[in-house]
Amino acid sequence: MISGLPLMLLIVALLAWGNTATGQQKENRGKASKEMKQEAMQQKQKGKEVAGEIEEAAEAEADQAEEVTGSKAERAAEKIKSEAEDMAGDLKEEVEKVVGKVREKGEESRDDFKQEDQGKSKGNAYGRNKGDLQGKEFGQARAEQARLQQQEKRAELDTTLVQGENKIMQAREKIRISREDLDKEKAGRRITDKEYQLKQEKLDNAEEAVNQLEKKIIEARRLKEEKGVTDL
Amino acid sequence: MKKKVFAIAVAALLLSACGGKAAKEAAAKAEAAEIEQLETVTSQIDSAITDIEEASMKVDTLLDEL
Repeated sequence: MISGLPLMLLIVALLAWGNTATGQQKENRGKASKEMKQEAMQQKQKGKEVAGEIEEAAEAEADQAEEVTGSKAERAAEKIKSEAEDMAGDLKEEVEKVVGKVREKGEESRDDFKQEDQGKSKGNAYGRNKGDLQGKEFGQARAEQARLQQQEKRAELDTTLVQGENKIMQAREKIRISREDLDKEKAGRRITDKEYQLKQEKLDNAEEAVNQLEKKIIEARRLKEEKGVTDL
Repeated sequence: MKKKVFAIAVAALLLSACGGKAAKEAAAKAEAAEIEQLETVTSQIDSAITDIEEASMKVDTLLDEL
């Protein structure tokens, strides 16, 4: 029979071997996860750069649009809108591609681990714990997907903000011109007091709507600043 | 003596098994919380976009009426 000390040493050696084997498995899985994460990070970086470019381009266009008035401003705004839409479309495609890729990889690694478990865990209880590891990998892929989705929304928000600001600028200009025309019409007695009141009311309503839009844009910018610092 | 050693070994094994499980659970919880936070922010951004688009449409409608 084995006496006390050798038995203890044997148990310790078995525990150490068990830990090493588990560590090796974890390392392998960690490697796969790391590669996947790295690729997702690269794509994320790319997405960030594209979003930055969109914002810069849109801001430059918005500056240009501020310099011109009337039909020129309208044409410039239309151009900005179409360019921003094109860029947003491209970015959306890119992000969808990345999300699909990450999802595929997550599923692939899940299948790999499933096969690995089936091959090794026959006849012992350790296989039960491998379900958690699959869940871990799946969770990481889901977190990456959530990050990418958020990035896509951030890019969309940037485009919406630029478009909204351009709209405010154009609308204010249109309202100003309409008020001037209305005053001229009234001075020239080309409209009745009732018509004047009605048009004034419409202009006030339009101005109120522009103020509301401006408020929403300010709120969105605040949200972007608050969440932008902590989350990405 | 043997019984003592066996008991210690079993206790160590149980302890290591429980510790690993707890760590895994903690990591899974942290990850779930992270995903939830990301999704919350995404939803807030989405809501802000919708609000701006709606307000923008209202401006368009009222400007057309002028």
